[in-house]
Amino acid sequence: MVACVAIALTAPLIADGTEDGAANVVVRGRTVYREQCVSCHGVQGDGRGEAAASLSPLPQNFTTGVYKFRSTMSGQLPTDDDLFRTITIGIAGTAMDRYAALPEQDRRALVAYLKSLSPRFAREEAGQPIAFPASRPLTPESVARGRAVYERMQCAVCHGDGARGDGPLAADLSDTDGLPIRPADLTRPQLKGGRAPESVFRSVMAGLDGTPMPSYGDSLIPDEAWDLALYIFSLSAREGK
Amino acid sequence: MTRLRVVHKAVLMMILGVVMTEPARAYEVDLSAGKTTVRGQITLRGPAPPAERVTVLRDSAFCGEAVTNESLLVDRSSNGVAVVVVSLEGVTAGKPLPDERRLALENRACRFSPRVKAVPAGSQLEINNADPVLHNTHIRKSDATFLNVALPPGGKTIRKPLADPGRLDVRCDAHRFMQATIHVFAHPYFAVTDQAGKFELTQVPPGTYRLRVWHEILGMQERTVTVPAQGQAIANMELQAPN
Repeated sequence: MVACVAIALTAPLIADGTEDGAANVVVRGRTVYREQCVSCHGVQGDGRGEAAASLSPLPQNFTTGVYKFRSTMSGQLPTDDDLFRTITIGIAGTAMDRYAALPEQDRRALVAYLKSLSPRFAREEAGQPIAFPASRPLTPESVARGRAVYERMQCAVCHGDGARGDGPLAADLSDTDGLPIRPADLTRPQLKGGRAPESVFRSVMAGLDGTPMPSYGDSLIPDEAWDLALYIFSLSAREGK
Repeated sequence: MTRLRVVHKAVLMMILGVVMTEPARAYEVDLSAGKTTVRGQITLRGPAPPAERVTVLRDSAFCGEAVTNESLLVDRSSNGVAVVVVSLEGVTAGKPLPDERRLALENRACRFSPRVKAVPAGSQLEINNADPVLHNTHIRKSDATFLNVALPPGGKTIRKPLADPGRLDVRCDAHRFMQATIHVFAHPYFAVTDQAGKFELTQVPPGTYRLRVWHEILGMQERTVTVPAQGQAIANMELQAPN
């Protein structure tokens, strides 16, 4: 074990495309994980760290390879950038802090280590990220179109007519572990997946795996999803949050 | 340096927790391999419980105030259990997989139709919603999300390939009483029992195999079946009624 730590501290950390380079990065990622993540996510990465019991929602279990915040289609693995983003910006409203202050190299190493905790990453290809549409500005027209998408897709069933997370189904939902889960209050400026409109676009198209939030990637074209994202963005902007 | 490399590899393997397992031998088509038919009946031991009525909490104006749980269907005269998935495990070569490679899964009248289905690997799943209410089709395979898609009313059909064998559990988060199960097989020796609980597997090559049966609420059981080179083999099984 002493030998591993010595290697981690002295070896160059750039994944140079060789097996050794990749191994170095994973080893470095494990060191960072043990310093920063282990108290909540646990030594095994199963989300059962010492602090986990007092947290709601529970910390992520990395061993299943199921991730909520992705840019890929439902059921697919996240991209490295998806994992890097969540580490960097954290998850608003939860105990998951932002780790933007960690050196980028260490956050990249963490991504490599987290992937090593689930056999799915060795077995399956990561999905292709869903492309953002060409930029469309926030205008009264785009917001009105987005509101129409909100109604047509029946988002209010869970999120409520005012998007505050209080729809008729809100109290009756559970995640795939059977734990109760509330729909997001979409009027908040900091959503769990990041700021609107980008985070809303991703979550609507990709869904949040492990939760009842389904993917609309087969039901909406990207322009419609972007209008919807602008509508959600307008809700927090309007309230001056 | 070489020694360090070895250490690196060992550490990486340790971290990855990699367990090298031999992949199961892939199924091969051999038209001459099998001539025997395996027949059987799956029956219930003990009295069949009365069908459960589940109160509908959401969209009851359309779905109805209550729905009957149709998961256990028992033939009164023979105690045969319908809709049991039966498969013969361990056959490595034999008849080709069925031609039908499409599974239409419909959300209709707040039910999944079909409720239980067995299909060959490589089938295309096609999900649609015939109802005027929002459904989602949330499919899990062991502890991972296979698919969770929204099905707004009037929306289009959603397609997803069923490439790998295994059991897929299907739910609707908006209507929790909605359930379905899809079994995907990498070989053609599978069947779903009829109303009398009977099944038939044709063109089975000789050998000793495991007959695996699965029922939505009675669970999974296995027994050994020895198949002769010709003629037929009878493989019945009794499943215990729930308390």
